[in-house]
Amino acid sequence: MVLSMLPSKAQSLDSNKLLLIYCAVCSLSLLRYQFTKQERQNITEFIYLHYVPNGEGFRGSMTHKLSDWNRYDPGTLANTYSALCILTTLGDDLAGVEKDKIMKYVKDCQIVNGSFLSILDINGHPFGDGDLRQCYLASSIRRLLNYKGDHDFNILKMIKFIKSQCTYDGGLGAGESHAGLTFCGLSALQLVGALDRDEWSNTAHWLVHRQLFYTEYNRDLLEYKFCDEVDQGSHNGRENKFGDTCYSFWVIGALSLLRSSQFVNKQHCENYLLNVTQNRIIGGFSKTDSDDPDPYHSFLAIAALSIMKFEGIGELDYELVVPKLATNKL
Amino acid sequence: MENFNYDDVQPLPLVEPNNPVTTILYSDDYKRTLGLLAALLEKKEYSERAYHLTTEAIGLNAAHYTAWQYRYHIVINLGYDLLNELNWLEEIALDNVKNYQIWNYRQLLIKKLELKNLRREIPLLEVMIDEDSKNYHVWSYRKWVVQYCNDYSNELAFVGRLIKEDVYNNSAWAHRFFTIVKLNEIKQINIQDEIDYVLENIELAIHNASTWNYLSGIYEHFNRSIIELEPFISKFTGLDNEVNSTPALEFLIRIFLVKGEKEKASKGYDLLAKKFDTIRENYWNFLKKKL
Repeated sequence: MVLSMLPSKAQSLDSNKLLLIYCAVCSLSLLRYQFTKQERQNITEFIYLHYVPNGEGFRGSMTHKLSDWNRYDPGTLANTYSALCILTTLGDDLAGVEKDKIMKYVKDCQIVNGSFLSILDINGHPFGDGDLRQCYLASSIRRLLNYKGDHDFNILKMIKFIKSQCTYDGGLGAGESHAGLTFCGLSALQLVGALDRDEWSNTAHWLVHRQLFYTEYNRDLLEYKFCDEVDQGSHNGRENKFGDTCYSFWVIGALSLLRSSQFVNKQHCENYLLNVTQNRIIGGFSKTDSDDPDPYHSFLAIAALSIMKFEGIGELDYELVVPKLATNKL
Repeated sequence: MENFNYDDVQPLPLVEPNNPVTTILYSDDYKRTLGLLAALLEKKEYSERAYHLTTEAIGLNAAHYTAWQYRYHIVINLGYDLLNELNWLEEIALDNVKNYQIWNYRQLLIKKLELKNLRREIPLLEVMIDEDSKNYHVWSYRKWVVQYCNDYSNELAFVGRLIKEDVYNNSAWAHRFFTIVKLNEIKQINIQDEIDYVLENIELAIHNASTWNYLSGIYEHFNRSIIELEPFISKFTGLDNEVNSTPALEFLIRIFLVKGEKEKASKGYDLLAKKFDTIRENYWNFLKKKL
């Protein structure tokens, strides 16, 4: 469905449309769908339409395109990452992108604290939001391009920034630990070869505690407005929040990076994903038991199930979050 | 949009292939607004009508990364009153609580204005937090703006109120930790008062991991030995009695470890693995083996 037509309420997702396609393509690939030659060609050509003329990256949507091009139609780190993931998954050799130009752009998006902002503005200065997500995107782009040239960003500064985001309870975040940001930080470190697992046992401890479990010994928690018995076995992204499908992936992915995914109770987690947030009528997975399924939560549920070696699902490269089949050759 | 004339502007048509991979059924309004926006962006037109177009575009798609950049360049180029921009942001922030760009744009404006007056920001932040007490963007922004203004004087009262309303609010505890560390850098604080405050709050909700984590964080940051907490913790847990708080038992095990009481720690891990926290059985067994 995602690879055809979306309703107009999806307009609010327009600026990151490539992210939606990334979720759909990688989901299908993990589910062992065989794209036909024609499908691969169509999608590949469509993605390359989003490559901006000066070669620095990919825009999010054709609605953002300028014909008489200037930098008001920039590539963004999120869409460039999505495009490279899609192309790699479909077997494209990336001969159509200029690696040096993309990496120069990524490098220029880095700011003084070591983190990255999402775009360069019209004057070539970093602009937008910057946090651990952008560090992850920058590091992933570097790996997807297998970049070894002269336009590398400052890795040491990024490492320093990531470590500065570690909080008092062991997780990473902007003040409050957040499982998604924790995954981004750890994976960015891993992608640049700087994840020393012995350093992160407190983080593993915090991550292990994200799996929700209500028993006769902690039942009073269920009186709290952010706790729900249906969340048994799910993961939350922060302390004292509801479970949410996507955090099953962010947590299990982060634990995998620390070689600790065996501490997740698979049976309970699978039960939550398959029987609580999977939509058995129209397919897909939703955020919680009371939402509609969407591409983002569907993909991350499949990705989590893949790490748990669920039968019938292909292997995931959990650092880059694309099918392993695609990244073996990187 | 009616008040502005765009007759001389040809909206850029949306060029998608006949068979696009993913298409969104854009509304006519969306196509026209983004088409006009793109046409003006090509010309880099900094004008009042362009400014209003960014309002329209952001209203339809608040994640439009170029619209925000363009808007900023327009207000700077035309010398608009940036305080009006801050007011406008307040309106749309309430409609787009999960949006990143709004807060980033606000930071830009505050920095441009060099507005080091926290009192201007507090009412908006209070409304936003009251609306959604765990809004990550708002809490992150609050942290940024109190640092920018170098004014930490309101924070303890603020988080104190929120913790009183909801002792489980982890965002409030995290902000409190940030505040305490900063206040202590400025002028040494009496950390015992803070510890007493946490202990009181632990007694209100003994399964609340937020408060236990906070307690642990404060002890570590201020280099205090957790051994002194053993009598307090024994109120909620122990190796022989019916344990009634898992986080308390976890904390007690850490005390055993500091004291070198491995056998007791091992028994504690067994209790967690086999009785109180069986979902993490593999983890507790792993820690037990590592002893």
